[in-house]
Amino acid sequence: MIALSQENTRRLLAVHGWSGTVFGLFLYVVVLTGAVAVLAHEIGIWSVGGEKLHAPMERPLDKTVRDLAATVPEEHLEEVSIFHNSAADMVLFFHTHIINPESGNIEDFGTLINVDPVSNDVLARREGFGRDVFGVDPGGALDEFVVDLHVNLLAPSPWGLYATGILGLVMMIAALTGLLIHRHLIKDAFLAPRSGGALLGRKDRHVLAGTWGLLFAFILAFTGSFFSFAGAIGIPLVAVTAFGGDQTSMMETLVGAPKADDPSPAPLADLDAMLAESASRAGSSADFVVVSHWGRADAVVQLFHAPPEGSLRGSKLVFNGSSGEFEGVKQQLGTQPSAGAATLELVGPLHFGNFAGFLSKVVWVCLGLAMCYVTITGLQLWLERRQQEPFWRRMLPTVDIVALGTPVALVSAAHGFFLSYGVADTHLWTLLGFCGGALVSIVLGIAVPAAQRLRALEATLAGTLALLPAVRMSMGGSSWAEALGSGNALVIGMDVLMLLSATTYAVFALRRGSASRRRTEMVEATA
Amino acid sequence: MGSNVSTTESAEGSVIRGSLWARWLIAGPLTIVTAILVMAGAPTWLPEGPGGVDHIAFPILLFPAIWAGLFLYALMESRQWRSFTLMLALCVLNAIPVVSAIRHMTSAS
Repeated sequence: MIALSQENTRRLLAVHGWSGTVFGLFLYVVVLTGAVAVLAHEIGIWSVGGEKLHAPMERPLDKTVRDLAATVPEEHLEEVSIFHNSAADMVLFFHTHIINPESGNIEDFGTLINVDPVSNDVLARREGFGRDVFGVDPGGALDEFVVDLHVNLLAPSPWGLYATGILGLVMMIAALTGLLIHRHLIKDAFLAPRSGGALLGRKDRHVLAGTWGLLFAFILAFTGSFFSFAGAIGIPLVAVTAFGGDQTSMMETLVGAPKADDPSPAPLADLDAMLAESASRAGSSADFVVVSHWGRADAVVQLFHAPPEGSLRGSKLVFNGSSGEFEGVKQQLGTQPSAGAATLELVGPLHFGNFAGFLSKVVWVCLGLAMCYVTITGLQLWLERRQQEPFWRRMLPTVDIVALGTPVALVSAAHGFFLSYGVADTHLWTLLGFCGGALVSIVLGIAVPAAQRLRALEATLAGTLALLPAVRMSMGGSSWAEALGSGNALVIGMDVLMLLSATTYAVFALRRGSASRRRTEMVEATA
Repeated sequence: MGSNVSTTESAEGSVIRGSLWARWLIAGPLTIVTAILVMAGAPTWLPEGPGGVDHIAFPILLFPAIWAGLFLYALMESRQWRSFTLMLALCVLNAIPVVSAIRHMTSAS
């Protein structure tokens, strides 16, 4: 038990309640979309019907990349990025860095080529600035939409990022004040919800879920607000004080001194040999490769690796591009191992929940959904205690609409994606699907009588979820037999998850219907 | 008599409201300004560490925690003049290297 004066307890309770009340609905949307975004990689694979090839970076790439390099303008060979998308298609971006007249900033400009990983056929080829050629891949629309919604709340950059950063700080304060006002932290972790009334039981469940989620909420809020503010405010400010505007000194401290310029021509060493050596040193295959100064004696190849099994930290290995020799492991920050760089590297895995593969992601999703429950029940408790006041009474339907309307809108976004995949602009239709789902939920929430509102929204969510696998397959997505045949069990798993979620919400809606009928019968019998 | 009671209650009410405003000004705008200045000024007093980057990494990393700590302190400190003085002192101490760096930058350019 944490000893607090009555005055401080009252103040902390007020901050806990008001922070949740004022920002609760936005916080709920950010946490829910965050829980879904933990599975962004899996959603991406599911949305395109599975990967064409597993571990595409482990197959020979050298000849394909070399052949395509011969087809792009020479200036685009200044830097080459190599990675793969959700369908496992290779994505090659041959580019240089020039001023974009639209933004006035130096940006990547070059040729982006999508290559089939099995046949090596060129699937798409676009030329332009990075912001124009990326983000138009039809297959990436759904997972990118979920992540963008979580990070920016559909607001323009950088305002959306600031907004979610502020919500992160609010969540951190709600978690810390929740921790401080807990009178019996250990006891509350094993609290059995009381049956003496709906409000009492809901309060107990709120405390129970909140107690177990306190640490998780703090970690998510801390790392989330770091991501929002570090790039936009933190790094520029700290750089001014630490380096006084000396950019050369800053780059040498943070990245290391650049290699001496040597523009004399030299062929690039065998990329496949570097990929194989890098994978064996790092313990996992590279998922992103950058070749700087292609065809020059000062060429450098950087290979980025995800954390190997049993490790929390990924790595970046550097090779000499012209000789193919291993030059060393590069730190994320600085040139020597340090506590600061090691701690920074932990922020990502802790926020994304990918530190122990799929299992940790599932745990992160469950804890995220528990935090959604805590946010919504907290809001409901606050509002139900103030039902005598007209303003708060009017707020209760809004909470119901947002609580169930957000998942309805997310599922509708997936419908929009599947219905347009291969026939129209998936990015536009995913957004339209989301807006359509949100609109339907709002109309339902307003039009349906209060007693039937939750039931109607739950039934809508169950229906949209149940239809999703059928819509996916009817629009040309791989069937379960095809998915199983190509080793994409994940596609079946995601379909089953949708059907199970649909069944759960259908049961909720049915139960709510029978409870409502029982109450009506009892009232009639008493009368 | 009744008029005296009403005047006293009104005075107490305005003192409480005044105190509430002061607390929110300290916990709100002053806390965010202090947290930003502490983050910006920290590279000058934090040790660089063996890798030479700890004084840059930790202020950025700990910004949310600095803000949360200052916010809770401003909320729970019963004597508001103490929280106000501490925040002001942190602001001034950390603003000195920041202003000096900016002046150095502008004179160099």
